[in-house]
Amino acid sequence: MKALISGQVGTAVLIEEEKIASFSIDDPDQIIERSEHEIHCIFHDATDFTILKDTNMDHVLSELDKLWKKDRAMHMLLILLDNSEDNDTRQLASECLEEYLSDDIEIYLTDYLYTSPLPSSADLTGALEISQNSNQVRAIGFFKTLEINQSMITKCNEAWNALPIDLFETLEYKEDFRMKAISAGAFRLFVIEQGKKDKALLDLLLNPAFKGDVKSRAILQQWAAPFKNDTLNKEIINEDYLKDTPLFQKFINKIPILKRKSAQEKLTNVEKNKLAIKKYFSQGKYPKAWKYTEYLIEDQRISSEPKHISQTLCDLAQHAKSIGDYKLQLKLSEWAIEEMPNDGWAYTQLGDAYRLLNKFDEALNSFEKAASFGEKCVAHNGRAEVLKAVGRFDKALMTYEETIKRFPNDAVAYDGRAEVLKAVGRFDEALIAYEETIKRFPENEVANNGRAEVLKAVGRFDEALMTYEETIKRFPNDAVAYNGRAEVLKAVGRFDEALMTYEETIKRFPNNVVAYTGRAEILKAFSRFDEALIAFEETIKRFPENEVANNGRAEVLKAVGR
Amino acid sequence: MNCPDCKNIIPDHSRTCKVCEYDAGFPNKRAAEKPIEQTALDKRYTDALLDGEKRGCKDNILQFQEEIKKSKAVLCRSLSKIQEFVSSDNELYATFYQLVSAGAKIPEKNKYDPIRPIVDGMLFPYYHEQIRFAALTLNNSGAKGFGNCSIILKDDTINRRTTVFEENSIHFAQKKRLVATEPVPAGYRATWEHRDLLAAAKQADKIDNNTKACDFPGILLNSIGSKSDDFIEVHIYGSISRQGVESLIVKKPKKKADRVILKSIKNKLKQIGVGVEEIL
Repeated sequence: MKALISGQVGTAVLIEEEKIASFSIDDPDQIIERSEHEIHCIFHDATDFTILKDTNMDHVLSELDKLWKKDRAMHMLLILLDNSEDNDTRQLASECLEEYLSDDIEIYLTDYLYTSPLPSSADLTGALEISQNSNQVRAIGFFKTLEINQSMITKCNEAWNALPIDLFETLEYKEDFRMKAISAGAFRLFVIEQGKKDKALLDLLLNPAFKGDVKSRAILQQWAAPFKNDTLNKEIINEDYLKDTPLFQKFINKIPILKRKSAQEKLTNVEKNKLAIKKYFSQGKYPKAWKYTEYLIEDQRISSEPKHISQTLCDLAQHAKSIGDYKLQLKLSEWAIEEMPNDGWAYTQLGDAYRLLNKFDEALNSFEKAASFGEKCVAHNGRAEVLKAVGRFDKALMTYEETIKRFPNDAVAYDGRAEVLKAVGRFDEALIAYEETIKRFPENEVANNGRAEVLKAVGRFDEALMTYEETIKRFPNDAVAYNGRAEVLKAVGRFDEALMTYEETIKRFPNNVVAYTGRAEILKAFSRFDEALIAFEETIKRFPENEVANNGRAEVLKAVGR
Repeated sequence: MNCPDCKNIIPDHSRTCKVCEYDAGFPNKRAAEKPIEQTALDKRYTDALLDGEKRGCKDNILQFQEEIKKSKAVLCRSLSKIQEFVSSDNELYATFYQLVSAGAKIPEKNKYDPIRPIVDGMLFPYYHEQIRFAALTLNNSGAKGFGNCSIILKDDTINRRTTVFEENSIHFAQKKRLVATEPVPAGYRATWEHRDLLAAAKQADKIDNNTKACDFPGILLNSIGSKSDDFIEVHIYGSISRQGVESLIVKKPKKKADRVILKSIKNKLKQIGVGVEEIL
């Protein structure tokens, strides 16, 4: 059965095959037979007209009741605020309002009440007084919040009115957009989410009414701009608090105010500082690295766009990943998003960090957001990675294949597809997939390493070793190939050579955690527990969050009876 | 028609001459005043009286016709919409409830009612958006299916811009199997001042020797709030303001919030001298 309902009219029309009937909320048992053309007459001036599909009588009644209460609550509210109404009417209205004020209805009312400041004729004090006299707790809260929010409502309304018609093309479209914004709760969100950075903007950009629509995005961003400064980044760094600290002064002396410099100088300076920060992170000097990051970002804020700040933080997040500190990667990615809430790339970083921290739901959510902000290809690959990580290999494979179809020049999807085939033991297909990838993307070291791994997995150690060695020659800065070579040597029992390879890798790539843990694992496998313990502890010192090192250390301690 | 001043053609749907701005009158009224319409209506009326004469009830028909001259236009709405209507000059309603009312309405072209836009296009070509629908009543009762409140309109605020039509125009189109390419048959519409002729022509066969004056309201408008309702449809050109309300008849509300709304409506209408009657 289908039903058409309106709370304003207080009527439901039921449609089942050829039969049409209606009932009123006042008398649901009295069903009246109708003809199809009467539907328009019944609802013709209703603006809350709703269609329910595949419904039943109970559902129709409950939905009609909800819509009716919304409409009547709005009337009660307006009557209560109106000092031209007599006191008795206002008192009765306040009783009804208190009865109907559920969370849903409060949201509905604020969606409209927060569009404009209250007109001068509105008697908010009187409404509050009436509610207080009758101890109507919910209504009191509602009116107090309404009162507190008046200045932000005014600000938000003024910002809306100031938006140029050019942005919408026509005045009519501006009005249509306003209605869409009200339905999506835009006015309410901008007011109630004040002080939470760009949360409202972000929520709205993800709302189905606006999601993926470039024009809507531009309008919402421009609308939010005037009150954005009030809410952005306040708690990240407190300038007044830091200004007098010696460290800040020292830093300021080191990095003169960027706005006095040319664009190229600014960029060079940022790059230099990023290098220094990365170095501190790599050395495990976290407080220093973190503090300097804060200073750098604060400095960038003076003359850079949010997207540049986000880029800096994403770059540092990538570095955090490269040194195996996924929590740091997460923190920096989150910060990047705070700086620029619609930065798709920052979301891919966040998703990646969540995935590496085994927080798969959060990872999927982040990749979804990344896609909605334009990073579709990376987001698809990230999603597939998560699916692979949670063992949904078929789905992961399908996702990679879809990505290959949509983005045929994306090597990551090709590599990913081969990785999944390898993970499910379909080695022949994995090998073919890697070879296809190498043919398509000859400079793709990931595919070369992947191919070598498959060869190792199927026991073709000589070929695997040869492939790794070729990759090392072609891509001497690729740590994976070095570690892979060491792994093969370990697998064929050439432990000394494996150990040497790991040590060489550590020398070449002092921030590569895999080489450190690999070396320690070999020492453990040799029962060289003292050395293994030292190796694990060294690793932990450098990479305190690394689980492999911490577990390895525990295993060694257990082996030596500690 | 041709403009009496500049002689240029004034389209049927246009209120004024596009060349010299001559006020040509309301398009619905002009349509009802066309000689072809008046001649056809006169014939129906004369035939109805002749038939009444044969049946010996001509006097009753004439009495009915006389009563119709006092009939009113009534439109039915929900309490919520009446509150919005009577609060139109209230700043709070204008600021906030107007936004609620700006939401999406049921589309005219909906799959349940495909015939409506066609009929509207035939009766009111290019001006159907200007037309408000009501019903003709002798006892202030309206078509019950369309809302619990009946608004009775003051004659002097509508008589120059209102016409009447045989019955619910959709029913009419279905019964007569009207097609968009052909004109609406003549003789089924009249100006407000000639509504008595139309009502008599239409309902004469329902009047006989036994018909009493107290039966007239039910003959004119037979509404139980279902699809078999029968009434003379009233077409009002342009908007209706609360100052145009003569009285309001409301079915006693069952729910508390509706009683509050009614109280508020009464207060507002009282200020402009309009009475409200509650019925069971």
